[in-house]
Amino acid sequence: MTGFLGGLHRTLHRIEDGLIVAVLLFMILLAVAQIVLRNFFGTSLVWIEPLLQNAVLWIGLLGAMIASRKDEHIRIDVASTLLPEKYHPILTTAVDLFTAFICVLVAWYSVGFVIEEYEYATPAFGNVPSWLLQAIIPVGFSVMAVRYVALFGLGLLGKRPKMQEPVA
Amino acid sequence: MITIAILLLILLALMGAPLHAIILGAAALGFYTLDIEMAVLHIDIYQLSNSVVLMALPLFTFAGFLLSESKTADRMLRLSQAAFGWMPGGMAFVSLIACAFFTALTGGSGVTIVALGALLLPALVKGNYPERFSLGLVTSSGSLGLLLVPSVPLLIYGIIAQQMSQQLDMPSVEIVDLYLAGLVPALLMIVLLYGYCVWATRGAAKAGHPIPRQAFDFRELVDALWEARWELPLPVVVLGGIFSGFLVVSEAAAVTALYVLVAEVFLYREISLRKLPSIMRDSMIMVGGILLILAVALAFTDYLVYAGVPEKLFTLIQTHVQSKIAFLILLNILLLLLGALLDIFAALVIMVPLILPVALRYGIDPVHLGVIFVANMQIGYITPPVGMNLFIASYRFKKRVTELFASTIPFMLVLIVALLMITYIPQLSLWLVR
Amino acid sequence: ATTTLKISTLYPDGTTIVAGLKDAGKQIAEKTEGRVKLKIYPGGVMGDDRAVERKIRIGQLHGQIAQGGAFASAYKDSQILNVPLAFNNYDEVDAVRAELDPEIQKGLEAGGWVSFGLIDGGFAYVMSENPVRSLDDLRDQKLWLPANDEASAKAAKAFELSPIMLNIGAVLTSLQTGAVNAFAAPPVAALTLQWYSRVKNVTDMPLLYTFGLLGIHKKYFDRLSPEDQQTVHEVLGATFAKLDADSRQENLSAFQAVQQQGLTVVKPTDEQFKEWKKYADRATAELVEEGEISQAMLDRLNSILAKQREGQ
Ligand code: NA
Ligand code: NA
Repeated sequence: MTGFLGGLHRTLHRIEDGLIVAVLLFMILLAVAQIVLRNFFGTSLVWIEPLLQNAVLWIGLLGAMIASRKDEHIRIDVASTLLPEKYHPILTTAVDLFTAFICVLVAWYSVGFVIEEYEYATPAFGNVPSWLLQAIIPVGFSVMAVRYVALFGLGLLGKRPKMQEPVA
Repeated sequence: MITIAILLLILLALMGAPLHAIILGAAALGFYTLDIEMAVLHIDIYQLSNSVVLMALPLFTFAGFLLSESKTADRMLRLSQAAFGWMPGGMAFVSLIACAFFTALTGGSGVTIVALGALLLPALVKGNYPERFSLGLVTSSGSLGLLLVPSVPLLIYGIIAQQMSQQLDMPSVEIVDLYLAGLVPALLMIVLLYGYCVWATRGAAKAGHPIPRQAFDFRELVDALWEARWELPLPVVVLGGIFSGFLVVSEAAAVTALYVLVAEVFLYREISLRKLPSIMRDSMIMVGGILLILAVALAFTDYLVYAGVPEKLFTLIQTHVQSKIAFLILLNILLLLLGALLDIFAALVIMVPLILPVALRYGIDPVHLGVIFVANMQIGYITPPVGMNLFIASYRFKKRVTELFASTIPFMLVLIVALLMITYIPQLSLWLVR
Repeated sequence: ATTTLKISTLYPDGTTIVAGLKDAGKQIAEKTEGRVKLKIYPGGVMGDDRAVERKIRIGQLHGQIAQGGAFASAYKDSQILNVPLAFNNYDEVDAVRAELDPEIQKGLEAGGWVSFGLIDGGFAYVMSENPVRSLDDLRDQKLWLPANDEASAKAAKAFELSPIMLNIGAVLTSLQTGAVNAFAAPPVAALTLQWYSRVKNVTDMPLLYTFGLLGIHKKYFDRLSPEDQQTVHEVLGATFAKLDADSRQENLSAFQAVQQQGLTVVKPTDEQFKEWKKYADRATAELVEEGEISQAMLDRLNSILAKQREGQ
């Protein structure tokens, strides 16, 4: 990938990586701040808890987006351990199409719901609007959908990374 | 039509489709048959932001990644060697203890074999333990400690149970109670495995290849303790914080993450600040995968409950199974089979919502059920065709999966004995709790 | 065609309310010859208030039994019964409810929720480790408030309290370890959740009146034929009248039970009560100012109460 698309690609990667690191750091700091406030100052801040809970959602989807870059998702892959390597492209082609379809399905209905939530204008807590926190869901599934379409395309060109389980 | 779709989903799952896509597909199919708008998937996924303990997952995992990126494993091995190396079967005991603690701290998922395996296997072989025995020991110990605080699978069980029960429906499932309940069963497993190790290696001495013990050296113990001085307080901080009520579980995770960060980056200086962001990112990719599964499992659970599947399942089981004991036998068989097929997180999110309501009606304590579940899953780590520990060990030690499986069979049998005791003697789990 | 009204509630299976509702479901099915059915999802299996509200929006569920506050966005003045320290006793509650219940029902219906009568939730009382008579006594305690609850956070601010927000699941252990040592709750809740066992005192001052109700969203209720709507109204109306009375009885005996379990009842002096009242009035004024409750509704409440108090 070169030029504009390549640049966009790298920028997206940097945004995802930066965001997920920032959310994790904020999580640690806010949680520790809450502990200190409660145990040493006998009080607590009302917005920390809901913010932390939503941070989990964001980490989940950002992490899932990043994992989709090279298709590093949890799976039960029986077929690829049983079948010889030369049949693997058939597996990945079907699997990529299916995954992309499911992600598009969720993203589509998710966008609809988030727009509705925006119109209802319900706050999640304080002045933070609920739609903003939920927006990571359609964004996440859209990005995953695009990535699985890309993986499908790479598969046709014979350049797709191997199907694998994430190994820590 | 629906049957075809279900078969197609199963086929795609076996072909290696990401589990989240499969579960979402199943939930979508279910809701479609009930004529429910698909926006329900979004609503259920958003419920991920509604858990009070889930925050512990990314934080504990991050801490685990930091520990496995630094030389914690070496220090832990040296320390347990200095403390227990003098015992008969000392090196085997050291392996068990070191693996149990490292797994508990890092939350399982194979990190233990990667980090400790490379140290333990050569040490065991050098100590005259047969290679096959050593391989089996290390591979099966890699999931020991899943029942010890702050184990992530127990945490996930608690999260699912809490989501299902809210506050009033059944005896409370406090995460703290689960950790307390896991303690004795975990020790039981260690003791039985150790007993087996001593028994299995008794012949070596007769054959003229005695397994050497490390003489106890107080000086070495002190040195090892001193070397581990920054990491040793960690269990105290976590356990003390949780059980004194100073911290709730999610906060203990935050303190752990911060503590480990400071220890490894600033005190031991084994992780550079420049490397930190990439470790954070890598750990969160893994967490993201798990959280995504949890989120979509919420959707699938929602479908099951909405369609009344647990009630139907209960009625079905009740017509065939009368007693609690018979139900428990059935449960163990089912979970062992599933554990052999599914990844631990997948098994938890798929099975807990189905089993928990049914088990409650047989009068099984939800805390005890959690321990049974995780104990089964722990054995599932070393059973083919899907045994994470087998895969990781195979990759780490460059051995065939079949060879590794053969080596773990005796250990698996010992663990099954422990499992049966845990299942049929609920007091083992509950006497610290109820 | 048959219509199944799907209703979610946090009340667990087997409680009086869920049992009553299931029974009502049977009666409705009988009287409508199977055209209308109720399906109850007890124990919060469908999620919390907010999740359930979203599920109602897309039609997966059709109604829920929840605390009055869950419906406040449809009709703000339904919060009139939750005004702090508004009532001195249940007689005053009954006088007010006799007049305002139909109002609230009408207001909710205009906001999109068909309801069938309120269920008594009892007064919330302060329960604490050390005796709480004055507001300052309470300020010295580590007071628990539910996390993620805008309304109680606002109230705490008005009373100049610095509470500790924890999720409801963490309260029992936190009381045990002393991380918090005071809370305000109806006695039934304190009994069911075992919180009472970790405190020593209860302040005999009805801090807040609580109630629950069943709301079925109008867009689903309107799908029923007028005759069937009438039937549902009749059956559920009778059911909820009975549940309201039963619930009141449970709340009264729970207050007795809490005392029998060894909690000491403490009472503010007249002087101290005046201070409480002063802050409560200020909190109420703020609610009016922020448009949470209308001045007209507040005036009505006060005039009913004045009439009732004169009569005694
Ligand atoms: Na796993
Ligand atoms: Na397995």
